[in-house]
Amino acid sequence: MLKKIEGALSKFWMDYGRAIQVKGAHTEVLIEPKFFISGQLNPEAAELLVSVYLSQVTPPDLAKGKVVIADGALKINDKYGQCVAEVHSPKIIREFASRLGI
Amino acid sequence: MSTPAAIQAQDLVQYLAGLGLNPQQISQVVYGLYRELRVSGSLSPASDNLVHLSVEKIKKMAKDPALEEALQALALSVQKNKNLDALFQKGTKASASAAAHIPLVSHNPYESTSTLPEPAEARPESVVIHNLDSFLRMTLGGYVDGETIKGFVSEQEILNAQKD
Repeated sequence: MLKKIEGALSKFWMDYGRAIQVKGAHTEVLIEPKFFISGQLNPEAAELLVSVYLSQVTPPDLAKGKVVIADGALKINDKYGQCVAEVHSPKIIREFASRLGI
Repeated sequence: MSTPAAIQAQDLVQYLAGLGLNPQQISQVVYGLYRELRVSGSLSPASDNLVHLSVEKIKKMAKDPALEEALQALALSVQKNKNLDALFQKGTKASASAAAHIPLVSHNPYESTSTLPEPAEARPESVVIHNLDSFLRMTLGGYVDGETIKGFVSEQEILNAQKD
């Protein structure tokens, strides 16, 4: 299961242009994060997942409470209104708020 | 030098130095333990010696959980202090959480990769995940099916329970 999830994250990472490819004369090296470190999702990967998810959030989603900004944090809720993740990165919050004109 | 069956974290620097790597290259190797490297094409020891020399060894080392934890602390220390002194000290202890933020490693020792990263200010907590299952379904759902995510999260829970 871990390999499958890592494979999916690797594809995601590649699709969103984060993979670094180093081309040598005889070698191509692809560099990407270890997606899980000591059983925890790499924060770098978590940030990209969140950023991409937030880029797809629409004003109606906002009205439904899928994403809530309060007390300097951004909360991502599931369809039942349960908080799935909290974002504390000012940069991510600022970009999200700016895009939706909040 | 033959590859030892196991390398203790405190011996890694000496081992790498014994392979002829300079401190900058050693730091790249240490950081490289936290990156997955995939090599394609044919390797030429003459022109791609650093990769040829290290990639398999690095990948083997990276699969050693005990080494991984120690090296996370080491990488964090180097990153935080912006110098390589910690590479030559034994028993460096630090939180592992920020070690995920690492500079890129290059296969070419002559490329400009000498800049150490900025401190990982607030980054480790920039995203706090409360429900990994739902989080992965919502953010990675287009790349992997729900059953795989469910199975993966169950595995993690079992592993975490075993750690506790």
